[in-house]
Amino acid sequence: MKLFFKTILLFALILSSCRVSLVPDYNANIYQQIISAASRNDRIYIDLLQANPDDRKFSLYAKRYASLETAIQSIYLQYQARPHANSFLPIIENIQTLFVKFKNEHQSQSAPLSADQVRLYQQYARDYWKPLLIAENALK
Amino acid sequence: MPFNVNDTLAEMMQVLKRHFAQDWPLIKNTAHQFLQARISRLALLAELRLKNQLPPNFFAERMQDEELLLQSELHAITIVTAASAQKAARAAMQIFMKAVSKAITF
Repeated sequence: MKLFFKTILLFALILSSCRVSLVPDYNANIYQQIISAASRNDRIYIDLLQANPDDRKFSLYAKRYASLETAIQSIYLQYQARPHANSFLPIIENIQTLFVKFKNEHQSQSAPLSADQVRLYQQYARDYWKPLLIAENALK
Repeated sequence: MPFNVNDTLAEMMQVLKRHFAQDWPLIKNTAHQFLQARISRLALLAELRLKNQLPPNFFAERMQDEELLLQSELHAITIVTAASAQKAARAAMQIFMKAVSKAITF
């Protein structure tokens, strides 16, 4: 009987040391960084919408685009370094792709962006952040 | 043939439902949230396209972006499912550990 309990105890100890990890543990700090980056991204489009068409020149927003691109890359690096977070990487890569694509379109367009274009960019930007927020929130 | 956003999205929802059959109750709300966002996005895009207020290629570019958004949404749904499975496994392990420590201290 003593041997039986010892075996069970040993088994339990082994099992307790192997935590099931399919996804990373929730990280409140990264979640806040995502919220902050998504808000700053949204703010660019809110400010573009409020500006007169002539004040929508890329050069007036270039610094904010660059700063936000850095923030997205920082989030990406943190997920790369985080154990069991590989499934998050394609979502962030898509955020990067779309963010840079919209930035380049803004930069290369000779005429000022129209309010309708800005509204669409804003809608797409809100929606490309959503999967990452929902996924990180699911870890809580 | 006219493009009906609601019909198309209802069909997409059915495909997701079939694909995630077992986990559907778990991810239903998330999938619904994504599809609702897609409805408003595509409705706005269609409205502006019909008014002819977008530069050439702008519409085609946004349609390409839809594919990336869909990919991201599917990844998020997979993570939601995995997170839920992980929580269930850990909860079951805790019950097992409690039972073992009770038996040992008995």
